[in-house]
Amino acid sequence: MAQLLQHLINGLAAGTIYALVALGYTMVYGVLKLINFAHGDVMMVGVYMGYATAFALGRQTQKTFLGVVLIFLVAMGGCALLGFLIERFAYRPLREKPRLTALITAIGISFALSYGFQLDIGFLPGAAPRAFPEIIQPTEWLVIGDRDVVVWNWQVMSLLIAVGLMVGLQWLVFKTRFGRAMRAVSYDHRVAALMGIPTDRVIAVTFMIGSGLAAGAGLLYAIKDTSVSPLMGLYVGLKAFVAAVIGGIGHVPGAVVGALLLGLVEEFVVGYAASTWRDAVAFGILILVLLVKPGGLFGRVAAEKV
Amino acid sequence: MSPGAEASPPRQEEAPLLQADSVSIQFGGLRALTDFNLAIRKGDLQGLIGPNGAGKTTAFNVLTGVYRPTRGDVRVAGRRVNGWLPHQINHLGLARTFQNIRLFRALTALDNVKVACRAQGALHVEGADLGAKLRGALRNYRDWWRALLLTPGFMAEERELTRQAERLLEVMGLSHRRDEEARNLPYGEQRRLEIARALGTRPRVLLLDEPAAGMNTREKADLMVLIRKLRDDFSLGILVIEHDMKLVMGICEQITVLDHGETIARGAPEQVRSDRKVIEAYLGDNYLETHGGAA
Repeated sequence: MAQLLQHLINGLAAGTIYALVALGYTMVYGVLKLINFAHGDVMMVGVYMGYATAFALGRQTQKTFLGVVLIFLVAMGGCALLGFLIERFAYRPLREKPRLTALITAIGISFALSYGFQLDIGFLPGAAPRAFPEIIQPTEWLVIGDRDVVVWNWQVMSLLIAVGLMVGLQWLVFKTRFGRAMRAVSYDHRVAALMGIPTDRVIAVTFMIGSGLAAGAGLLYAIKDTSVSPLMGLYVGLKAFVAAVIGGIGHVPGAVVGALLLGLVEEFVVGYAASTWRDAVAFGILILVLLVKPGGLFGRVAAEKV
Repeated sequence: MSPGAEASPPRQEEAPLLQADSVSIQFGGLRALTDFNLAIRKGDLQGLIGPNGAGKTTAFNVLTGVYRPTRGDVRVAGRRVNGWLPHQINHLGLARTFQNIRLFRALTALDNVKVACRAQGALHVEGADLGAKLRGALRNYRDWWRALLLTPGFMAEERELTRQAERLLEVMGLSHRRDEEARNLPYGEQRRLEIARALGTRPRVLLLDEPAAGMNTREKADLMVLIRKLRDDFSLGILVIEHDMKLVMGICEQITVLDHGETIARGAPEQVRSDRKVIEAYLGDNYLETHGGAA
């Protein structure tokens, strides 16, 4: 019983991180119908930005509350800018081209980032994984029984940060003018423009928000994993993409549910079966969900009422 | 009966709110619109008619910035807007509806209108040059950012937009549909909701693309009254594309007739109705021969 509870906690903590990345996929898909395969790699760049900031702050400052806040702000802000640049110069010129053109561009950017960062020139970090500094000293936040169940402080933190960001996003999308504009663009960007909505800007900001969330998620992941490498984006990005598809891509709460589901399943497979099965089961679930509900758990594929 | 007849002469001296100056548009080898001229002033109620494929909707698309004219100028509120983006042209005071209804289907009726609504005084006209675009972008980013910070200004703006949208729903007789998704509204109400949405952008000129399509006789009669009322209450200039001759002839003071992208006639309804070219375009070249020429 205690073991089950422990796995549940670990699974939720992992799931919330996937959720933050999955939200970026789902938002961009929502407004552009584009699967932004570079999203995971933007996250990776964010983690390196956080890494560099932590390094610049030094061993003492990086552990203070303000230091951690600064690391998150730099990474999230830097990634928002990166997302903006990618959208502006890689995707926007292709807006009226067939969708495959943008998709292959996304894959190209993904590879450019993940392999570009393996170079060892200038500020680029090189291929070897590096230890991510312990900006949050792991301490036990809650211990039940004789260490039957341990909840770590970083788990609580990532849960709080992730939930906070998700609630904020939900509010932004459904209660603000920007969110209305975003939903309008997602239904019909041509009509939205004719109703006075600056569609290009709405799309740019959507990219910025998604990329910023990814950077936050990446840092939480790096803190958990205590490492950072140029290829982490491909891996985490793929998982988050799977989560978004399971939930129904384009559907904001769906992405969260899909991600939590994925996090839990992975944890339980590792805990009760074998860790080598983890990815197989994760992708197996994807196939299963798509077989039964091709639009994902919350997606709609049904023929529109005419 | 016709309010246009009472219009005072000075009206004619104001610069038109919407003007097309020998606008042509060409898609590849196809000339979709040739030397199209138009001037809409405040209080005007004009019609644009023509057989299917005559270029009516193309004309709307050029005027609203969806297409860029190949030749000629489009002027909105006195400014040349060739190459402007649709949202920038909309901010100058030009709004439209669509032939095939294009609402944001999964948004509520209220949100459909709120999307288009702008707070009073928030209407900023951008130019097409880079500096103006940059300033516009910064203004947008600032406004959206304020929403995240929950500033009092943002909350007040939200309330103002809701009030505005609710008022427009009321004008269009849709208050009871406020929280229903647009796709669940009956057809006629969807058409009215599109007009409400267009009005949300605070236009000075409203372009209606076949507003009566699919309506029954009774609804059409109501629509005629409504269009006139909108023109008067919102002091608009209105241009209507419509297939229903009775409706067009009934409300429009001036009618432009297009055929194969060319303007074949223009004038008051009675004039256009008896125009030989118009009859030919609508009924075919043989009609006059077999029916003895009387319209």
